[in-house]
Amino acid sequence: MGKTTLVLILLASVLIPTHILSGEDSVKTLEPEVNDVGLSIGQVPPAFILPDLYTGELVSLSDFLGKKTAFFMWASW
Amino acid sequence: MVVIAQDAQGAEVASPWVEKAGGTYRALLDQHNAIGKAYNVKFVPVGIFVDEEGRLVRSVGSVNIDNGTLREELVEWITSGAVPSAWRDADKGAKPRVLTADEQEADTKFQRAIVLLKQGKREDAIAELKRAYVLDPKNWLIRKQLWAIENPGMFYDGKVDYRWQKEQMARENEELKK
Repeated sequence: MGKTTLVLILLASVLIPTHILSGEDSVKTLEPEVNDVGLSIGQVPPAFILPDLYTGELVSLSDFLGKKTAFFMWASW
Repeated sequence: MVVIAQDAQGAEVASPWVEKAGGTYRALLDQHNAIGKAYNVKFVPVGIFVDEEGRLVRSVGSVNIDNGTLREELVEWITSGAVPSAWRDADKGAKPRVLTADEQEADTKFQRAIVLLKQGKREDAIAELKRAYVLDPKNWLIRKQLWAIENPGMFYDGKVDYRWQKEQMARENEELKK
Protein backbone atom coordinates (compact mmCIF):
# COMPACT_ATOMS: atom_id res chain seq x y z
CA MET A 1 0.00 0.00 0.00
CA GLY A 2 1.44 3.36 -1.04
CA LYS A 3 1.61 6.35 1.25
CA THR A 4 -1.02 8.25 -0.73
CA THR A 5 -3.50 5.37 -0.43
CA LEU A 6 -2.95 5.23 3.30
CA VAL A 7 -3.52 8.98 3.65
CA LEU A 8 -6.71 8.73 1.59
CA ILE A 9 -8.00 5.87 3.74
CA LEU A 10 -7.25 7.83 6.91
CA LEU A 11 -9.03 10.88 5.47
CA ALA A 12 -12.02 8.75 4.52
CA SER A 13 -12.25 7.31 8.02
CA VAL A 14 -12.36 10.82 9.48
CA LEU A 15 -15.31 11.65 7.22
CA ILE A 16 -17.51 8.82 8.51
CA PRO A 17 -20.49 10.34 10.36
CA THR A 18 -20.67 10.39 14.12
CA HIS A 19 -23.71 12.63 14.41
CA ILE A 20 -27.26 12.27 13.13
CA LEU A 21 -27.26 15.24 10.77
CA SER A 22 -23.69 15.38 9.61
CA GLY A 23 -21.19 13.53 7.53
CA GLU A 24 -21.48 11.12 4.68
CA ASP A 25 -24.85 9.57 4.00
CA SER A 26 -24.83 5.81 4.30
CA VAL A 27 -27.53 5.33 1.67
CA LYS A 28 -25.59 7.49 -0.75
CA THR A 29 -22.58 5.31 -0.08
CA LEU A 30 -24.61 2.24 -0.88
CA GLU A 31 -26.91 3.28 -3.72
CA PRO A 32 -26.32 6.67 -5.34
CA GLU A 33 -29.16 6.27 -7.85
CA VAL A 34 -31.90 6.32 -5.21
CA ASN A 35 -31.09 9.90 -4.32
CA ASP A 36 -34.41 11.35 -5.44
CA VAL A 37 -37.35 13.06 -3.77
CA GLY A 38 -40.78 13.17 -5.40
CA LEU A 39 -41.40 16.88 -4.78
CA SER A 40 -40.73 20.08 -6.66
CA ILE A 41 -40.44 23.86 -6.04
CA GLY A 42 -43.77 25.62 -5.56
CA GLN A 43 -45.75 22.53 -4.62
CA VAL A 44 -47.60 22.36 -1.34
CA PRO A 45 -46.08 19.23 0.19
CA PRO A 46 -48.48 16.50 1.35
CA ALA A 47 -49.90 17.18 4.82
CA PHE A 48 -48.72 15.16 7.79
CA ILE A 49 -49.51 14.88 11.47
CA LEU A 50 -46.75 13.35 13.61
CA PRO A 51 -46.07 13.11 17.34
CA ASP A 52 -43.37 15.10 19.08
CA LEU A 53 -40.48 12.71 19.81
CA TYR A 54 -40.56 13.53 23.52
CA THR A 55 -44.04 14.72 24.49
CA GLY A 56 -46.15 12.81 21.96
CA GLU A 57 -47.99 16.04 21.20
CA LEU A 58 -49.35 15.87 17.66
CA VAL A 59 -47.78 18.33 15.25
CA SER A 60 -49.08 19.13 11.78
CA LEU A 61 -47.25 20.49 8.74
CA SER A 62 -49.73 23.39 8.72
CA ASP A 63 -48.60 24.38 12.23
CA PHE A 64 -45.51 25.85 10.56
CA LEU A 65 -47.38 28.18 8.20
CA GLY A 66 -46.12 31.75 8.51
CA LYS A 67 -42.54 30.61 9.15
CA LYS A 68 -39.82 29.40 6.85
CA THR A 69 -39.16 25.86 8.03
CA ALA A 70 -36.43 23.36 7.24
CA PHE A 71 -37.46 19.76 7.87
CA PHE A 72 -34.72 17.16 8.13
CA MET A 73 -35.65 13.49 7.91
CA TRP A 74 -33.13 11.25 9.60
CA ALA A 75 -33.03 7.90 11.39
CA SER A 76 -31.19 6.13 14.20
CA TRP A 77 -30.16 3.35 11.85
CA MET B 1 -35.71 23.72 11.99
CA VAL B 2 -37.52 20.46 12.60
CA VAL B 3 -36.02 16.98 12.61
CA ILE B 4 -38.17 13.95 11.86
CA ALA B 5 -36.99 10.51 12.92
CA GLN B 6 -37.89 7.72 10.50
CA ASP B 7 -37.79 4.98 13.11
CA ALA B 8 -40.11 1.98 13.23
CA GLN B 9 -38.63 1.09 16.62
CA GLY B 10 -39.92 4.34 18.07
CA ALA B 11 -38.70 7.08 20.39
CA GLU B 12 -36.61 4.66 22.41
CA VAL B 13 -34.03 4.29 19.63
CA ALA B 14 -34.39 7.79 18.15
CA SER B 15 -34.34 10.17 21.12
CA PRO B 16 -30.82 9.31 22.40
CA TRP B 17 -29.39 10.65 19.12
CA VAL B 18 -31.14 13.99 19.42
CA GLU B 19 -30.06 14.23 23.05
CA LYS B 20 -26.48 13.42 22.09
CA ALA B 21 -26.58 16.11 19.41
CA GLY B 22 -27.83 18.58 22.02
CA GLY B 23 -30.71 19.51 19.72
CA THR B 24 -32.92 22.39 20.81
CA TYR B 25 -35.00 22.14 17.64
CA ARG B 26 -38.38 20.49 17.40
CA ALA B 27 -38.07 16.73 17.00
CA LEU B 28 -40.87 14.60 15.60
CA LEU B 29 -41.25 10.84 15.24
CA ASP B 30 -42.44 9.12 12.08
CA GLN B 31 -42.74 5.52 13.20
CA HIS B 32 -45.02 4.40 10.37
CA ASN B 33 -43.13 5.77 7.37
CA ALA B 34 -45.86 8.38 6.75
CA ILE B 35 -43.44 10.87 5.22
CA GLY B 36 -41.75 8.24 3.08
CA LYS B 37 -45.05 7.22 1.55
CA ALA B 38 -46.54 10.68 1.10
CA TYR B 39 -43.35 12.30 -0.18
CA ASN B 40 -42.13 9.41 -2.32
CA VAL B 41 -38.93 9.12 -0.34
CA LYS B 42 -37.16 5.81 0.20
CA PHE B 43 -34.10 6.81 2.19
CA VAL B 44 -32.66 9.28 4.65
CA PRO B 45 -31.34 11.87 5.17
CA VAL B 46 -33.66 14.18 3.28
CA GLY B 47 -34.20 17.93 3.61
CA ILE B 48 -37.57 19.52 2.85
CA PHE B 49 -37.63 23.31 3.06
CA VAL B 50 -40.99 25.09 3.07
CA ASP B 51 -41.75 28.81 2.91
CA GLU B 52 -44.21 30.90 4.97
CA GLU B 53 -47.04 30.04 2.61
CA GLY B 54 -46.40 26.33 2.94
CA ARG B 55 -44.82 25.95 -0.50
CA LEU B 56 -41.79 23.83 -1.15
CA VAL B 57 -38.57 25.65 -1.99
CA ARG B 58 -36.15 22.74 -1.80
CA SER B 59 -36.23 18.97 -1.48
CA VAL B 60 -32.84 17.37 -1.26
CA GLY B 61 -31.55 13.87 -0.60
CA SER B 62 -28.29 13.10 1.20
CA VAL B 63 -28.67 16.44 2.94
CA ASN B 64 -25.84 17.44 5.26
CA ILE B 65 -26.41 20.34 7.65
CA ASP B 66 -22.67 20.67 8.17
CA ASN B 67 -22.15 21.41 4.48
CA GLY B 68 -20.98 25.03 4.14
CA THR B 69 -22.69 25.65 0.80
CA LEU B 70 -26.02 24.40 2.13
CA ARG B 71 -25.68 26.66 5.17
CA GLU B 72 -24.97 29.69 2.96
CA GLU B 73 -27.97 28.88 0.79
CA LEU B 74 -30.20 28.48 3.83
CA VAL B 75 -29.04 31.84 5.22
CA GLU B 76 -29.61 33.47 1.82
CA TRP B 77 -33.14 32.07 1.65
CA ILE B 78 -34.01 32.95 5.26
CA THR B 79 -32.65 36.50 5.09
CA SER B 80 -33.65 37.52 1.55
CA GLY B 81 -36.65 35.28 0.97
CA ALA B 82 -35.36 34.51 -2.52
CA VAL B 83 -34.93 30.88 -3.52
CA PRO B 84 -31.19 30.35 -4.20
CA SER B 85 -30.47 29.78 -7.88
CA ALA B 86 -28.72 26.48 -7.10
CA TRP B 87 -31.99 25.18 -5.67
CA ARG B 88 -33.88 26.17 -8.81
CA ASP B 89 -31.22 24.61 -11.02
CA ALA B 90 -31.37 21.36 -9.05
CA ASP B 91 -35.17 21.17 -9.13
CA LYS B 92 -36.34 18.14 -11.09
CA GLY B 93 -39.99 19.05 -11.44
CA ALA B 94 -40.92 15.83 -9.67
CA LYS B 95 -44.56 15.18 -8.90
CA PRO B 96 -46.00 13.11 -6.04
CA ARG B 97 -47.17 9.75 -7.34
CA VAL B 98 -49.27 6.91 -6.01
CA LEU B 99 -47.53 3.79 -4.80
CA THR B 100 -47.27 0.81 -7.15
CA ALA B 101 -49.04 -2.40 -6.09
CA ASP B 102 -45.75 -3.90 -4.89
CA GLU B 103 -44.83 -0.74 -2.94
CA GLN B 104 -48.27 -0.76 -1.36
CA GLU B 105 -47.95 -4.42 -0.38
CA ALA B 106 -44.45 -3.81 1.00
CA ASP B 107 -45.86 -0.99 3.11
CA THR B 108 -48.71 -3.17 4.41
CA LYS B 109 -46.14 -5.74 5.55
CA PHE B 110 -43.96 -2.99 7.05
CA GLN B 111 -46.91 -1.68 9.08
CA ARG B 112 -47.72 -5.23 10.26
CA ALA B 113 -44.08 -5.66 11.32
CA ILE B 114 -44.32 -2.52 13.50
CA VAL B 115 -47.39 -3.94 15.26
CA LEU B 116 -45.57 -7.25 15.79
CA LEU B 117 -42.55 -5.39 17.20
CA LYS B 118 -44.77 -3.55 19.67
CA GLN B 119 -46.21 -6.91 20.73
CA GLY B 120 -42.69 -8.15 21.39
CA LYS B 121 -42.85 -10.62 18.50
CA ARG B 122 -39.45 -9.72 17.11
CA GLU B 123 -38.88 -12.86 15.03
CA ASP B 124 -42.30 -12.52 13.37
CA ALA B 125 -41.61 -8.84 12.69
CA ILE B 126 -38.29 -9.72 11.04
CA ALA B 127 -39.98 -12.38 8.88
CA GLU B 128 -42.59 -9.83 7.80
CA LEU B 129 -39.90 -7.23 7.00
CA LYS B 130 -38.06 -9.82 4.90
CA ARG B 131 -41.22 -10.32 2.87
CA ALA B 132 -41.60 -6.54 2.61
CA TYR B 133 -38.15 -5.63 1.32
CA VAL B 134 -38.18 -8.06 -1.61
CA LEU B 135 -41.30 -6.28 -2.91
CA ASP B 136 -39.61 -2.89 -2.74
CA PRO B 137 -35.86 -3.52 -2.58
CA LYS B 138 -34.88 0.09 -3.24
CA ASN B 139 -36.87 1.26 -0.25
CA TRP B 140 -34.07 1.74 2.27
CA LEU B 141 -36.56 2.89 4.90
CA ILE B 142 -37.77 -0.71 4.94
CA ARG B 143 -34.61 -2.57 4.04
CA LYS B 144 -32.19 -0.90 6.43
CA GLN B 145 -34.68 -1.02 9.27
CA LEU B 146 -34.86 -4.76 8.73
CA TRP B 147 -31.07 -4.83 9.05
CA ALA B 148 -31.13 -2.68 12.19
CA ILE B 149 -33.84 -4.75 13.88
CA GLU B 150 -32.26 -8.08 12.98
CA ASN B 151 -28.68 -6.98 13.67
CA PRO B 152 -28.81 -4.24 16.33
CA GLY B 153 -25.12 -4.72 17.10
CA MET B 154 -24.22 -3.38 13.65
CA PHE B 155 -26.14 -0.14 14.26
CA TYR B 156 -26.43 0.67 17.94
CA ASP B 157 -23.11 -0.35 19.49
CA GLY B 158 -20.81 2.55 18.79
CA LYS B 159 -19.86 3.13 15.18
CA VAL B 160 -22.12 2.19 12.29
CA ASP B 161 -20.47 -0.60 10.31
CA TYR B 162 -20.68 0.43 6.64
CA ARG B 163 -18.50 -2.46 5.52
CA TRP B 164 -21.05 -4.88 7.00
CA GLN B 165 -23.88 -2.96 5.28
CA LYS B 166 -22.20 -3.26 1.89
CA GLU B 167 -21.68 -6.98 2.41
CA GLN B 168 -25.28 -7.39 3.59
CA MET B 169 -26.54 -5.51 0.53
CA ALA B 170 -24.45 -7.72 -1.76
CA ARG B 171 -25.77 -10.88 -0.07
CA GLU B 172 -29.37 -9.70 -0.44
CA ASN B 173 -28.89 -8.59 -4.03
CA GLU B 174 -27.72 -12.12 -4.84
CA GLU B 175 -30.87 -13.49 -3.17
CA LEU B 176 -33.05 -11.01 -5.07
CA LYS B 177 -31.65 -12.23 -8.40
CA LYS B 178 -32.93 -15.76 -7.72
